[in-house]
Amino acid sequence: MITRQSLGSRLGVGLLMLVLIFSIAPTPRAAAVAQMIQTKSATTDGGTSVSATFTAVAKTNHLLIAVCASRNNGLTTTNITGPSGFTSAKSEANATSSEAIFYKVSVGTEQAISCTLSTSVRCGIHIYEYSGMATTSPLDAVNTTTSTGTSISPASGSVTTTNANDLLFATIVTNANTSISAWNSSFTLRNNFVNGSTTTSRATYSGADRAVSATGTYSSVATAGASGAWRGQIAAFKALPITLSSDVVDGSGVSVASPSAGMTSASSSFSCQAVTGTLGTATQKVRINNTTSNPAWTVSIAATSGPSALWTTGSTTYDFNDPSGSGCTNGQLTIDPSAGTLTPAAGCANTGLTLGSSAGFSSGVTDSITLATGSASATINCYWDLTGVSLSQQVPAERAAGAYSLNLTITTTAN
Amino acid sequence: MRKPSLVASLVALLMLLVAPTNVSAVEYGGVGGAPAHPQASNPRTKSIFIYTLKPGQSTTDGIKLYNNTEKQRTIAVYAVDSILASGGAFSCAQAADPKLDVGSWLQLDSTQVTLEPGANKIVPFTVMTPSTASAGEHDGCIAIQDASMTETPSSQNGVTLGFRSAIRVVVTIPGKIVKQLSLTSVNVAGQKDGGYKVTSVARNNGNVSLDTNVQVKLVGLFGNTVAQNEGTYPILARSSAQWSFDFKNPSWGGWYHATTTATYNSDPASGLGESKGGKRAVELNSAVVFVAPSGIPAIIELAILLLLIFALVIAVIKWRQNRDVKHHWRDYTVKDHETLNHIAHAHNVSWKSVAKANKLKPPYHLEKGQKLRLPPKSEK
Repeated sequence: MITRQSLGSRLGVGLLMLVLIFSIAPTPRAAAVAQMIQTKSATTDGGTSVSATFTAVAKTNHLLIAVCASRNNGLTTTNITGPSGFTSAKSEANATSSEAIFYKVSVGTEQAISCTLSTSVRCGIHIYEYSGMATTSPLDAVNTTTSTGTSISPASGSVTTTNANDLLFATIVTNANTSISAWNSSFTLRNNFVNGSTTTSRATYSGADRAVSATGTYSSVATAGASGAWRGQIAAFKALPITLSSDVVDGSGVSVASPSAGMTSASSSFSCQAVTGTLGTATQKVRINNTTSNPAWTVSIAATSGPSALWTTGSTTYDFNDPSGSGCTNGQLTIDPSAGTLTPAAGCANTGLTLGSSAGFSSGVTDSITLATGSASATINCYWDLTGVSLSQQVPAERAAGAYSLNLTITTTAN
Repeated sequence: MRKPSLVASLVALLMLLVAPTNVSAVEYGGVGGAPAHPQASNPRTKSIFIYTLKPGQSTTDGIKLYNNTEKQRTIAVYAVDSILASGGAFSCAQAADPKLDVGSWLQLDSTQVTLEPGANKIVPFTVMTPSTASAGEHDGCIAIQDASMTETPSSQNGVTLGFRSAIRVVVTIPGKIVKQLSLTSVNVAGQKDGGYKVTSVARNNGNVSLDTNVQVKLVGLFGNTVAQNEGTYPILARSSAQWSFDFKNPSWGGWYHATTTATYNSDPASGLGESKGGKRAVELNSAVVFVAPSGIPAIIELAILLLLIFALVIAVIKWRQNRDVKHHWRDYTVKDHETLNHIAHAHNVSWKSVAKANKLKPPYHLEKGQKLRLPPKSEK
């Protein structure tokens, strides 16, 4: 039997089936300082637990706040236990209502968050994720006196902060079937919801926040549509300090008091020679920190004394910025940031960042060398560790022996 | 004449280091600042100072200083001119440098402020432009630094590092404002890691800085964009700026070029940070470069190439066979009781070839008088 067909035609069809798909990654938007990322709420009309689930898994190092509250039966005090891993900032309860604020620094896995209650009651939970918050000991202060009442103006109580840049978080629960239309004192309403199938026994819950930049005593009053027994609370959480800076830190992120970057040694020579070093190592990283609202910055390095600076032993000198003779006539320092690596903090990215190109100091021409640049699309509330920047100094021939030093300044500029 | 042994001895005696041995930081610059009174209409003023002042005119403002450390800090605050860092990036002159432009127009009410941990304070300042100031943009900086860093650190072995932060100060003198940007080069260069670096250079020929969105695309032979990168950067007046974007190796390989598009607000009446007026885009392509495929795509493409070669060989063979049948084979009329095998054997050719050339199909029954094409007898 002869069944063979045209091999060429088969191959032609096969080749036409080759499809290449390319994708373009979207550019993430920059977040604002101390910004709420997401919030959710949930209720139950009678149960010993209530749970809410974020739309997306919370990001590492973001602050999570969970508020759980209940309308109690008037006879029994319901105690609230916070979500697993959360710390209680404020928890109050009596026979009328219970409310508690819990917080946690996200480890990047939290999505469903629940509270448990000591009795089966109608209760609610509202959860929040914030960026730009302190990642260690984020709680600054809470209201120290109980704030309760029965008017249509439930109040948060007052909190006295000790940290200038705080996020104030206020919340109320009221035993009324109503709605919270606003919070005063520049607080932003974030949640307003009710529960209860019987309108006469519904409870209303609300949360609001405000970022402040100075210490003081703060409070807020909400506007409710109907009166009811209410309870208010307020907590102050530390936002990241507003700063655009650079530093040298060790492997644990602790500022290095006297960091050093080893340079290769060289013996006295009758010819020009290059010595090299590395700016930024695993134990001494150049950390660029931006917790301002501006994502655009430049980090550059220059001689502290300007173009007239010199490597010096105190008695003998040579140049760091003379390109003549390929740097061998009087000496030239070349810095190559492009050989380095920018490592973002957890939850951050290198989007919008570029490393500078290799450049040699040249008096009056290149007096400052760009190490890294953040553009408008860079993320904020982040830090990046710069390592592996190569240094190369041309040492002119016949330099006198000695330990030479040069003062350089790293400038982080908002632009 | 100096003997070699003497030279060696001298070198041995001079086995002293002449190279810098260490880079050391003196102080942590955990202090910062921000404009104290940003303009609600211009969000850029939240992070930099922007003024439009006539020659001889002055204005007052303030810088809010922060102490983000856990210790009391004395913060030095001072004005300097701006300078261009390598690649055209904005940077600030050193405190030791002479002040010739905006650095000399700024008068701060305080040059040192002591702040408790976590505290902040506003330092007022005055901007006074000289009567001779030329039209266009002038830039400077207000630098913030731990007070211990304002003086040159004492000499130590190696390099001493200082840290400071600075806020850009933009003063525009009204007059003939020119906004003109051009792209001067786009180059693609291979990297050691197999990726590609696209370096674009733009020239601002105007007299004001331009916040420029730079978009770089890696474009395939058929105009398909395989990757892109972008950022928005200030390009200072009368200067060039350079950006390098890294791209991963397009694993399928092929011929690519980079296209850089620079977009900026071209309305002279629109100040820095303002969005009124139209935008203008300039575009420039790099030369086409060949990128070798890598990884699994390379194996797939190699297999496809081999298949193509194989198909080509087959096609050539078939073409030659068809040509022979058409030009050299002759007509033959089937006689009574002749079979395909018999005819093929008689003409010294395989029955498969005869069947294929004559498009015969199973069961290959031949009729008396049927016309066939067969090779000439000479091929026996």
